Amino acid sequence: MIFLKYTLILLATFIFQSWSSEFFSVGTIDPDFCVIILLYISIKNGGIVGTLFGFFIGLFIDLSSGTNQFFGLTPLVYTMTGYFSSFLKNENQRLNKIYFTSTWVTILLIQFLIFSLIVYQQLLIQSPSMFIIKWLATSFYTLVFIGILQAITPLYKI
Amino acid sequence: MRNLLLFIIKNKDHFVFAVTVTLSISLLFNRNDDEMSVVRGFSSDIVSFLSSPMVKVKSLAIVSEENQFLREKNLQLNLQLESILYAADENKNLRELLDFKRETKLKIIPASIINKGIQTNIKALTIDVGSKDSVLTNQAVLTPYGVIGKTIQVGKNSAIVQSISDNNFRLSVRIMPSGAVGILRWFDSNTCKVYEVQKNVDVNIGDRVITSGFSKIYPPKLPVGIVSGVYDERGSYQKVINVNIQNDFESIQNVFIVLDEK
Repeated sequence: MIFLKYTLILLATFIFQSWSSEFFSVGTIDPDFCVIILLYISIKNGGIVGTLFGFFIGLFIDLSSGTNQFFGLTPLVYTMTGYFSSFLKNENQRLNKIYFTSTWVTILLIQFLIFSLIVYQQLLIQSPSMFIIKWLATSFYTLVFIGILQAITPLYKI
Repeated sequence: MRNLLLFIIKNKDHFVFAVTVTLSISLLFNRNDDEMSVVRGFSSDIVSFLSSPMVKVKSLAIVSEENQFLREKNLQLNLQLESILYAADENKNLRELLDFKRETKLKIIPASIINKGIQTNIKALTIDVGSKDSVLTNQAVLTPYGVIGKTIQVGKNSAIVQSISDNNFRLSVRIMPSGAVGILRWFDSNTCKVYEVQKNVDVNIGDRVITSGFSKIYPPKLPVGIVSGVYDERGSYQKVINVNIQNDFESIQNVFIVLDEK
């Protein structure tokens, strides 16, 4: 049952991502909705579900991008995000809100950094400042959407 | 072995993480393998199959907008085409007028028709030249295709032309090559009849009709039309000749006024 539930969530997230990316795209910067869902699932369900969900959604995304130059990168970063964010499960009782929020923001920033370091390595060599702008813009654009969701369903309270 | 299993179960989160990370890294490093390419190709087919409904829905979502855009574009292009065709026609007509002005030995001035049918009892045209341009009454008005009338009233900046299509219009003409003369009057749409032509002259369909030169208004040899029919008048010694006028009165825009012979 749980397998079916998360398969449906995975498919819905993937479809939403592929539909909305054009609509929300700002120049070359797209929000990553999959990682938002992954974050919620990991913090709510813990390590195994978060890690597996991250791996499979990443794999699904890479498989759907036929000419993806870095095949395997998305499952890697999503797996890491799913795994590390799962440590926040039930930590809302121990950590205060600021620490809790800072932790998942840091996890996301590191995830985007690893992704950018590999995908935009050429840009990093040519123009480090442009690389940083690209990394931060992508990260913060996704964080804006997570921020909006915090008003509806805060990660701290799930 | 049991301890190992217990260890794995106890640390299943970390174990799953290690396995998935290893798999991901392995995928990353083996992304260019032939086997991997086959898997990716196969998965690409599946994904494209799954995505095809989405693509159709997306295209349906934009079809209305696209349709509106294409209709607007179509209208714009049609208007442009009409404008180009109009310009081409105008260009052709003006070139013909220019050639006619160069070749003719008459002293003529160009004019544009600014109104058609201003008078109720006479078929008339109003042109944009008048006494200021040395136009007088009873001067021939023509186009490269033939005579279309004469001036009947002249103002300072405009003149009224009695059209050849007016019932009271008469023109002395000569039919070439026979040289037969007669009086031309309007009959029907772009058709005139020439009366008082002797029966014994040889007139054929396709013969040219020109002004005879007997009139003080119309210099000789101005084109008028082409013979389109020849009939014998019953109980008379005369023939009736049908003449097709080459001018299209609906579309004439520019004319010439014959002031004098050079």
